[in-house]
Amino acid sequence: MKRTLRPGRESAGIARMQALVYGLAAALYLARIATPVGLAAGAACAAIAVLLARFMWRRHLKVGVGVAIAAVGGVAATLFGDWFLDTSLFSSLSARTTIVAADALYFGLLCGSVTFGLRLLAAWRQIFSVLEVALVVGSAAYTFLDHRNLNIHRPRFLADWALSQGIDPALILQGLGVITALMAIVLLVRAQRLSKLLISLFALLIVGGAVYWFSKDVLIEMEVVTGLGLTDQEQKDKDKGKSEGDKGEDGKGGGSEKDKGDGKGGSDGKGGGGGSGKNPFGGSSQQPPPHPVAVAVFHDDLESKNGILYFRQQVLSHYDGNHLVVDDSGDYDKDVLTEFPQTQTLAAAPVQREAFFTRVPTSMYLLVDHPQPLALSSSVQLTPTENPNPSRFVAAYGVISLVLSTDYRRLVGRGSVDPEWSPERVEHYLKTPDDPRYAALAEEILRDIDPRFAGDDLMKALMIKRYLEVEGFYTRTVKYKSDEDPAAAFLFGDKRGYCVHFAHSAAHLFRSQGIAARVAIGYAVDTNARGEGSSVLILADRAHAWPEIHIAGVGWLPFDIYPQRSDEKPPQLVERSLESMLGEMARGDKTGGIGDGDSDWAMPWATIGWSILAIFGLVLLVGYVVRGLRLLRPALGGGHAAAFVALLDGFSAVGLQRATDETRERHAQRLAALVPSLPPLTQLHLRLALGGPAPAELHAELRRLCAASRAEFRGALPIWRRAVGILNPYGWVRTR
Amino acid sequence: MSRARRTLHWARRLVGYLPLSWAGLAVGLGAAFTLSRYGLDQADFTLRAGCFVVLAVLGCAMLFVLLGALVFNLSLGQALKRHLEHDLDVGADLSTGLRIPRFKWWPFIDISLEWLDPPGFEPRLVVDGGQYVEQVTAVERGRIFGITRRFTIRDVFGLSAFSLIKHQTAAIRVAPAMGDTELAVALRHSSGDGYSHPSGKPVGEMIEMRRYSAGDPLRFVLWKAYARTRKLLVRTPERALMPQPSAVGYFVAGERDEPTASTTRYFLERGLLGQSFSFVADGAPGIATNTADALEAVIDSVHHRAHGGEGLDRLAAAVDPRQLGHCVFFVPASDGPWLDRLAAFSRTLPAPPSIVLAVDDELEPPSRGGTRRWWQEAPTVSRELSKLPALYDRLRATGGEVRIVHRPTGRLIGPVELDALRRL
Repeated sequence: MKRTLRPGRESAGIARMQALVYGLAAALYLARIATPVGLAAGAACAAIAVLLARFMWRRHLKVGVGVAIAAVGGVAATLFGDWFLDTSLFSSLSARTTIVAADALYFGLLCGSVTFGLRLLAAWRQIFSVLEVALVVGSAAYTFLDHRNLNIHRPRFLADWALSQGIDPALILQGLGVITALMAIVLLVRAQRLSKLLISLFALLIVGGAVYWFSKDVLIEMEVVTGLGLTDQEQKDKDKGKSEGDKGEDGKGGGSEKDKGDGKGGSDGKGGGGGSGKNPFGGSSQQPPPHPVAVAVFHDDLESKNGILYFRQQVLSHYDGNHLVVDDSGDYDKDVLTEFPQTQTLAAAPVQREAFFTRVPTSMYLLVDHPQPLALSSSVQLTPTENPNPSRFVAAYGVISLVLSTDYRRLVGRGSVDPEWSPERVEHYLKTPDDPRYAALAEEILRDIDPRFAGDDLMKALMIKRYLEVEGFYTRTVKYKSDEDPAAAFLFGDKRGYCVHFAHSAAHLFRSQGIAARVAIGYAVDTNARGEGSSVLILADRAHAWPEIHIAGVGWLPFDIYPQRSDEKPPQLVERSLESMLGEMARGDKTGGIGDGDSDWAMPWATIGWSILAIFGLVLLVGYVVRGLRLLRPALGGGHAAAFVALLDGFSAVGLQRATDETRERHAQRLAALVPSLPPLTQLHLRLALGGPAPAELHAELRRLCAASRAEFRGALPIWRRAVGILNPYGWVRTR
Repeated sequence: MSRARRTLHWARRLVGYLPLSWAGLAVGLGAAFTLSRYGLDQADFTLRAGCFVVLAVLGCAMLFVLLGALVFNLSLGQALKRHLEHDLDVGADLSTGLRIPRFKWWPFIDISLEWLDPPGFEPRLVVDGGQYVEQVTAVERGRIFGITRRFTIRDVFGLSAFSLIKHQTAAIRVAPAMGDTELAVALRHSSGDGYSHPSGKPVGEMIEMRRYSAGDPLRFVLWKAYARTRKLLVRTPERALMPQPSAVGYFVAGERDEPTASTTRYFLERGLLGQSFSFVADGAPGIATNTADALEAVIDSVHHRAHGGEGLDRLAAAVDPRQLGHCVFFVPASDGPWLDRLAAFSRTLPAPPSIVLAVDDELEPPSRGGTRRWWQEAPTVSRELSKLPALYDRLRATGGEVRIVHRPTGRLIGPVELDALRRL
């Protein structure tokens, strides 16, 4: 009994295409980890395994056995790879050759085994094709995963090339994603008619192109967690939580929806205040990941006095009975700009006295949505500027900041509360919890103050700051979130906490001694952990809260606490290349400083188009030439077979070719209604072909029948179908 | 029905309306998760674009499938309102005249068809220009009064599928297939035992001769005649002068009775039951005495498979007792309660009955020697044939003479084959 082949789920052509996809996926995956030989072996074995799996499937290989073979192959790959390196059998080989051979053996076996098993499973149940798609897309993602979290300067080999050509690496990466996904989807195709397959693949290309076209300029809104509610996403999450829970704690609520595509940057300015009424003592116990959130470009040199640059986003000055929140009355903190500049320059209330400060112009380019503008503290003016790269930066604006240029020692002797302040303002900035322990602790701290400075607010503040720095322990593991007064729990407990605890405790202690204080939230960038350039890359893990105190006649000053003890890991160094690259991009240099800046490289679509057209033309030409030669062969003395074949070519060109397993006689009978002369012609041809030498009159008869058949064929077909037949360059391929 | 069950029921119905396959659901969920987890949260440009493409393709597939379903539904028009009337034999192709669009130039989508009711039909779509034409092959006899079809429009990637279920009234009569000519040879080999010829009982000497035909034993070939004439002739028994007495036929319906129904039709149409036979089939209201009525009874018996042999008592009451000496039972090739009824009835007969059954299954499973049995899937050969020896033994125990016909080859399955089957 003859056993028939199990029907394959895909045709041979599709299987070859899938082998190519698997080979490319394997090559992509191995590009990071294998030697070139290992890569070639892996890709080749993956491609061969696709064809082998199809072959074995059609020969009724048990799926379980196939998967077991694949598993054994995977294990063998590991064992043989190691064995090859360790064995002394190949001691005559050089070290390099041994490593390359082991690599080829390991990756070849591994890729072949995985592919073989997956292909068999996919042939068995289509649901397993989903794994194949994941594998192919995952291979590409693995190769380029370094660029995640806005690290667009990676992978180097791609980013450097793209930037040197003036191409945004994101475009290349997205293009690769589109191509990979399209190739992966091909793995889902099952047996189809050729026409349907071609139409579907063409439609697939259009879909891929459309997705690329529409998504290439769309900004990725990465969700960045700072732990302090600084980003828009965190604000939305807070607002959501707030609407579900304690609405009474609401500040102004809501960030701003920015118009990201206008190239102008900035916000519509509806936000402000930002809903920081939510309890700030609830951040994650983990240090936020160091994702880039913004780039600041300095227009002038700036030397920070304490090595820290404070980029403030908002301030908390209103005591709500539990902790400090954003003042939503609009009467206070007018020196803090809480709206993005849209069309006009925004200026802060003149609280800071410029005589003590230096004006520092900067440009801010936000990579992540923030509900309020972020600016070097203390910002006094925000100017709308053009966003140089809307697909990269969420917002862009210019900032004029006032940075203290006077030595702190020269501020000694000034009081904190401005005599011109109204009683309400004084009360606003001095209000503390109804807990006498704050004042008692502050007085205890100040007991040892130098009598010369006993009444000096700045010195008092310094004493308190010093106390907290010595006694406090910086850790993220303690929250005190559920305590009625988290700052008291921190301060009167073991003094273990993080910046929010320190900032609130300091503000309460300052206020208890009549020093106007508030808490600022933003990012504190250590200048020692950054590059030398004029741009500063701000990372999410630099999110920080710090106290600010007011000095009458001067303004608000950052008065940060630096605990001497900490269990926190030192912050990672900023990727200097990324910092400078983003800085250059912010300045409008597409190359990120890698190219010569004048490069205006563009994808050579015209060349690509002409090349495709030329290849297409060449393919057509080859088809027509072969067809022409086959047509001319009878006239060139090709014999009766050539005449017969030339006639059959005509039939094939319009889809009337002989089917598989169809005899010549049956084919002739099938077309007899169309070409009545074909059956006798076929008989005659067979007689001449199989019957040995024949008289010349039979050859003449065959030529006559050929001519008659051709005439009948022409007469029977509609004009459009004949035209299609004439234009078809590869109809002869189907002649059999 | 509890609330949970009701919810589950409605959830299933709702999912049925979703144009998504399991693979599509998995791809969609996987792409959405990857897009959210890596594409957006971690700003992975490659995965973001890739997931967008996958989701876009999924969306397009669903859109085209739904659009195709809509167009298909509209294009059906009044086609299924037509009452369908046909007569056909089992195994024969029937073109129902239903034409549906091919969607030849539509990307992504393709269409398939199956008959939900009645079962036992294998419809297929044959390309005819820009349309598909429905053709169907019946695999069992019966009468069909309505057809429920399920048209499935799906995409070429297997991500999306949408089914439309349509009903059409019909009056289709499916008669058992007529046995082929080799069956005649098989029956002739049983000559001497009562069934070799319709009009005579060939019980005489081997004195007659005829042209050799396939299946004739070589020992009956007249080699001397062949040497003279170069024609193969064989000796055959002398035919009985007395016509074969008319028989009583009874068709027992049951599982896997279609081959036997085919053999029964052969008996009826070739007159192998004699000139004036009586025939009863399970479920038939009366006794048929002509071929047409008998065939209709066989066709109708398909609905009484669960009650095989229940009409035997009626047979005894209705038929002339003299005829019961030549009883032929046509029985299904599967065990069942009918076997006990048949055994009980056989004991009341004046002479041992003849029992005929036919099978379709492969007699010789493909060789899977060596290591192949370990790695190669077993061919899809029905295992029912392995039960045949046991059935044969039980039928033999009734006292009847059992003849098993292998319908595809027309051969009688003899003791040698049965012994081989015992070892399957």
